[in-house]
Amino acid sequence: MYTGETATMVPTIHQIDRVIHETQDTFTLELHHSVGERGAVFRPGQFNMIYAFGAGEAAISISGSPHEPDRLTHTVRAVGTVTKALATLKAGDEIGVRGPFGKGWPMDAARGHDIVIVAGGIGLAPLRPLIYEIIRDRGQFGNVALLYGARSPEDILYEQEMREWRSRLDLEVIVTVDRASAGWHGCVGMVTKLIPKTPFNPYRAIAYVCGPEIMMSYSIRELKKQGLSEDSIFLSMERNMKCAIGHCGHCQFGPHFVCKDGPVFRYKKIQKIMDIREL
Amino acid sequence: MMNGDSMIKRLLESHTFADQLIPAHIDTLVGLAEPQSYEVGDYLTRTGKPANHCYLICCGQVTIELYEPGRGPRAVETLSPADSILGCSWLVKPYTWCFDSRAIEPTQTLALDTKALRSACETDHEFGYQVLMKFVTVYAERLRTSRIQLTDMYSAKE
Repeated sequence: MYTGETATMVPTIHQIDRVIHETQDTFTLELHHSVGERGAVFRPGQFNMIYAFGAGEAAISISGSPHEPDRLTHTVRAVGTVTKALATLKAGDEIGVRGPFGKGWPMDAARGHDIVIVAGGIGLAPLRPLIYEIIRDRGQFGNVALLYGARSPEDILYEQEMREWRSRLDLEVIVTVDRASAGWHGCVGMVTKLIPKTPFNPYRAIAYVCGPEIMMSYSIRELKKQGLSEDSIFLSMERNMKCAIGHCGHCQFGPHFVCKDGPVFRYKKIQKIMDIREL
Repeated sequence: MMNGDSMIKRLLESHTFADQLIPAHIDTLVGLAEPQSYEVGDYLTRTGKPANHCYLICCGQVTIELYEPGRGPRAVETLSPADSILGCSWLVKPYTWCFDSRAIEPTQTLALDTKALRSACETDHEFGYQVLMKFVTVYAERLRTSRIQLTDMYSAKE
């Protein structure tokens, strides 16, 4: 058994229980620890370094429930060398896992408040553990809205689960797509357009935002227009993470390391550096 | 019991389009407005037809569609009361619609007579400026979001 920093640097072997094909290029891996150890406790919004043997490591958000410690769930989009290698794996195959790392979504800040969750594309994955947590403690929050923007109806993640969430009377779930295909009867347009349609008290609301940075910038702009303060908005940033413990500097974002100080940041903390192109 | 004009006035005053309009300008709009209801599937505008009305959406949802020969209608945007206005083709010649729009939920609107509205804007420039600023604000935002959508921001990036 490794301890201290070694434990964070040495991957543990996990076996794939199930591969769920979410969309054309996105899949979910359900894993368990190969020697039967209980998985590490994680907080919604944290990530693991996933090691595809022979290909390398990639930082992948944890997308499962924090209350199922024996199962580790990651939703992956096959876009790079490592994630394309992960896409070739099947149930029974093994991968390496380091983590969990980073700061997650602050839940205590939201208790007693309305919650607005704005997700775009694969950005829904790191928010899903948060949604599980909110549903589990539903009575502790005010109005809860999930606003989700996808590229097209075929790119909507967790479709079955989205239907279940939509059918709940205590969750407002609105989905919009950028490009509608025949047979789509839902909203079409940018996810930011959904924010003014959402009932929340701007003085007692917390917003959690994750998606492409341009989407997050415009979501913040709209949330502020609706009266939310910079203090009440949290977002998950993405940078090229390598060591995941703030040593290598690959994910440096101004004075912060995204792997260690993030990936979830309070907007007020990073607003001044968000528009600096060089970062 | 409420007469037609006072009902229209009430609807108009509760609509975001009327925010910060002075009472005289609201009264002018009341004279040009007519409440209309649409069932699911009803068209509000048809491509190429005269843009004789523009619409303030009071409730429901409308889809803006582009008809592609061989592929049929494609929804390019959906609008609801939060989006305020439907239709700007009445502002520029030849005053004909560029898109179809169709109710996808039971929808209520205030339809403004656009010929009379153009005339009122020309007669009273202050009124015209205020009305045009309303349209410019809404359409500038729609242009902005459309441009962001053009970047295909959710597409895969290595």
